[in-house]
Amino acid sequence: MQFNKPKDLNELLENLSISQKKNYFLAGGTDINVQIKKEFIKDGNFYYINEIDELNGIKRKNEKVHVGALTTYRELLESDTISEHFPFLQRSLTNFASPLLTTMATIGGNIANGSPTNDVTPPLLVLDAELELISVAGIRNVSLTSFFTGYKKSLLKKDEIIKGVVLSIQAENGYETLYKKVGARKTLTIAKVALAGLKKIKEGKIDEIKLAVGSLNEYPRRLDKLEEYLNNIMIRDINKNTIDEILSKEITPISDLRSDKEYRYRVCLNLILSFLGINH
Amino acid sequence: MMNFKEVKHSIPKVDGKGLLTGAHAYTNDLASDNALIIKLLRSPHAFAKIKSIGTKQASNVEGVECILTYKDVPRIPITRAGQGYPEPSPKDKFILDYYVRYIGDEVAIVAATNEKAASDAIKLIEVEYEVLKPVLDFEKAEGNETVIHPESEIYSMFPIGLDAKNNIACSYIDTMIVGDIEKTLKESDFVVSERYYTHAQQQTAMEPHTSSAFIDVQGRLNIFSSTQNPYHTRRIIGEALNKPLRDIRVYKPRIGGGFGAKQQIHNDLFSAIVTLKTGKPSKCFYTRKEVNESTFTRHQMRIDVQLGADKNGNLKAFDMQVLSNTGAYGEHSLTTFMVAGSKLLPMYNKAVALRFEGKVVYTNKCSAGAFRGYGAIQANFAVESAIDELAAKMNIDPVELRLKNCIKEGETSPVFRVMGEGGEGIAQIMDSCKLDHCIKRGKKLIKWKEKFPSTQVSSNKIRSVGAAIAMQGSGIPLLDMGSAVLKLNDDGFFNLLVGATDIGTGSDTVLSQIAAEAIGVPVDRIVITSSDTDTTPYDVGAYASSTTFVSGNAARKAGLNMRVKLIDEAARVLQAVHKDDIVFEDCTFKLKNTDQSITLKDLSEGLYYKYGADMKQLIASGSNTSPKSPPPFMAGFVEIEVDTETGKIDILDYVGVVDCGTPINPNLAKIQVEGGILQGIGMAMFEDVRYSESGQMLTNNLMKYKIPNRKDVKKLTVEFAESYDPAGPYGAKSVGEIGIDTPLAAVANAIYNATGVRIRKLPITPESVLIGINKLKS
Repeated sequence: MQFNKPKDLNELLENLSISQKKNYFLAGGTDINVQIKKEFIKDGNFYYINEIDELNGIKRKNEKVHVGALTTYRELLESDTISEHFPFLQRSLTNFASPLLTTMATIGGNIANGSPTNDVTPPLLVLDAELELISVAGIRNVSLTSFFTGYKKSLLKKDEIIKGVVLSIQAENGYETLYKKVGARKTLTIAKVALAGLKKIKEGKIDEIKLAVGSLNEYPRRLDKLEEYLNNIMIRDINKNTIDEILSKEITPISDLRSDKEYRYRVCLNLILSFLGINH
Repeated sequence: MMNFKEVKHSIPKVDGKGLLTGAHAYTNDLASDNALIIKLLRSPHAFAKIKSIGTKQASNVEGVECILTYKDVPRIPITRAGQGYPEPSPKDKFILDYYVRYIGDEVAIVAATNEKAASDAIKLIEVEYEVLKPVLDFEKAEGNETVIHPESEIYSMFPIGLDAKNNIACSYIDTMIVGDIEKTLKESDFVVSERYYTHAQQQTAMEPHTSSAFIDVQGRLNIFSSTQNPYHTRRIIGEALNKPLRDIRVYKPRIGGGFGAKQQIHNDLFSAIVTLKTGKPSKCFYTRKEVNESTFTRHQMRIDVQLGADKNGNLKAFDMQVLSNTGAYGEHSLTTFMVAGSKLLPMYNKAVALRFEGKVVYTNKCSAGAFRGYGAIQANFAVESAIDELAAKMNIDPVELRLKNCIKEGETSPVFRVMGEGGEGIAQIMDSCKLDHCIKRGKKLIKWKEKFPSTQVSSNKIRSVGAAIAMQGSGIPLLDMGSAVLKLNDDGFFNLLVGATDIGTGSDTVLSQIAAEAIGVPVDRIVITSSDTDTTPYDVGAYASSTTFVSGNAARKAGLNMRVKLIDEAARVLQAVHKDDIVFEDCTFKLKNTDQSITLKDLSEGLYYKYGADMKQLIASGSNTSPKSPPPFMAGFVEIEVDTETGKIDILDYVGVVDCGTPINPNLAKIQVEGGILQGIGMAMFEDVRYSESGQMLTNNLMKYKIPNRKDVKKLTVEFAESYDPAGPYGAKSVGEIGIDTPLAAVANAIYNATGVRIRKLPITPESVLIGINKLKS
């Protein structure tokens, strides 16, 4: 293991471009320190990035808000910009981890860690968040919906780092919102099921709906097929069985120590039906 | 009501501020900086025989000082239970053995100058195992082809029904029988006959088990240990290592919680033997993984309950058949099992036919041991669920059914005489029992009349209430003994030396208050020391809800004796004709009808420095054992909200009304009850010890093993009944365990009242509630 402390973003990117080993970024350390301690990670180049200013801060630029990768959950919870434009996002973070963890954990680190149970990804997915990825070759923007490619796998290249998360300031404007995390206890818990949703309903018709789930697939994802079915449908015309049928193809819950697949599926279905105002 | 000056007052814990500000106070703080670090090689197999074990490579690791296998340690069968003597648990454990009986069982002890060397060496020990087929299902243990304890040395100190060849650690049949159970059940108008399962639970003390040892200047083995009972620890170490007790000292510093987990001795065996072998100080501190996997859990139980009642709601027949799982070793196997009967059967003393029987079996899982609630909590879930099931059949209010049939003040039960802990019991009458008040008061506090059974509050939320009642004990009659010594110092303060073991419970504070009350001085005149086998007198230790009642009476006796001695001395100094003429108030002795007086401070200085031939050290002692164990009682009421969308249960309020006699320190007593309720809620709804199919414990850290946190329970309401037990110190009974018993059944009953779903298998999970709801729908 090699430990590096680059002095700025350029030095970091240079280092990444020539690194022979797997690169790890030490920001809040809430995931990576555990993985090192448990010997899941035994070798690699470690970069301490907490003092790299370019990765920090919540900034508004025109119609976008740029949330630096090093932004902690505490900062998100206390940010005026976030509370002004993204109250739903802020609300969904309130029962997230412990005060110790929220003070240390960063949004970039959490996304990069790629856990299927990651709490912040479902709400970001329905907000159509984009990620800014940066390397010596420059910056590229990818949508969060396409970022994950498998269990703990993503589009992030070996020499890249997440620079920040970009949100449109209109992202949750005018929507009814839902974020539900079902865990073993109220806080300090890993989700058994998580559902985030935005909807606009006009005169009994779904104008627009966005749904994203966590803990139900190899990575948090949008329910594209279900959204396709639900968009522009009259609520009274919604067929519960159709939802069930589509959902059964879009989520692949598993049984593990935390819960079992039948429960996860049922609760996900119940939560979606409730969000649509349909009895289950 | 009695007027007390020191007891029944909520003073802060004597050690509270120091602990909160990080004082060096725990075993790991006090261990020598150059202590060898001990690590254990643990079994990867649920059941195996060690064919060969090689330590050569491991011993070459720099810093390694000592590696011990079963070949290097005495082969003396012991029990680690840490109970009274003769021990009621089977002698089925060696320090190390060539059999390993669960995943996590000890294979070898490694001591090195640093933690890394010890951990590295562990990995280099070469063990060849003959892997054997384990028994993981406790319902299949009896008579299984796998015999978990085939060793010839296993024995019990008196008959407990040990049958190792059939994997039975102990059994209890044909003894606890009153009346004709079968006939009475047949004649009953209403009968409930159901099977309930309770699961294992982790004690989850904040401080992991820690032990440290060194040899002192007299060549004696000193052990600093996070133990609940230093004297039992000394006795067991002496037995296991074949050493005279005079060569062993066990000292308990501050303890970060026990809950029963530290009643058993554990890594003391390893620190002791390493220090004896090397002559060097050593310490062994467990990781959370070791605490969870390799110490002790609560006994898992299967309980068959039969209740019979006549049509007027009189309970006539009460039968319990229990199967308990003690895991790999039999610590507390018989006694937790018997408590399941002895703390439940007497509570419904109107029943004319009673029976309680069962067996405790070995399995290849983590050993079960002592845990707050100790059998009573398991039985409480079964019986208090069954009472509600009976009430539902009879279509009457379950709280009224309890009120009608529960034990009342001045009454008794034949069970007290028949069943003790491990043997026969002692008859006793309930000189204090405010259970009926607790029920009525709790009912009012939770607003039962308005809320029972349930209210639909939104399309997917139902609120409901549920109840359960409980009794526990106050120590074990004529088995538990505690003692205290008081010593007067110049400046007029007292050392209070007790063997009682404050494990975070606040007993140092409570015992100081009792001693102060007895002497007649303010509590700040008392400086307490607990506990050290060299310097403090004997006490069984902190278990069985014994400290306030058993040790408290010892502190009281010592205080009263000291008061007599003080008055004797004051009478001499003040030249009183009669001792009765001395009045002792406000730390001053006054001679009645005169203006002569002497302060306690002056008297104490005179006794040390000024009284010539009359100079002396005033010392008073008291020891106490009791033929009674007056039970504390509690009525628990819960209000929950069920989410029918997710099956999740929210605890909105938990009301506990408790009769513990006089609460010596109401605030500390309240904390005990609140902590108990929360731990009971944890067992009911959050905590579950789970294993893989091969017997690997999966819930071996606090990420996977969830205990409830502050946000999970919205409100706790604890109230004490006005009660006074004449056998207790200033009317006190004990309060350490009673809080934990009721939540399991109360929550299960509330879920039934909300949804009609009856949960008979713990823990209650959202999964099981949702499945139940869906089943009822279809």
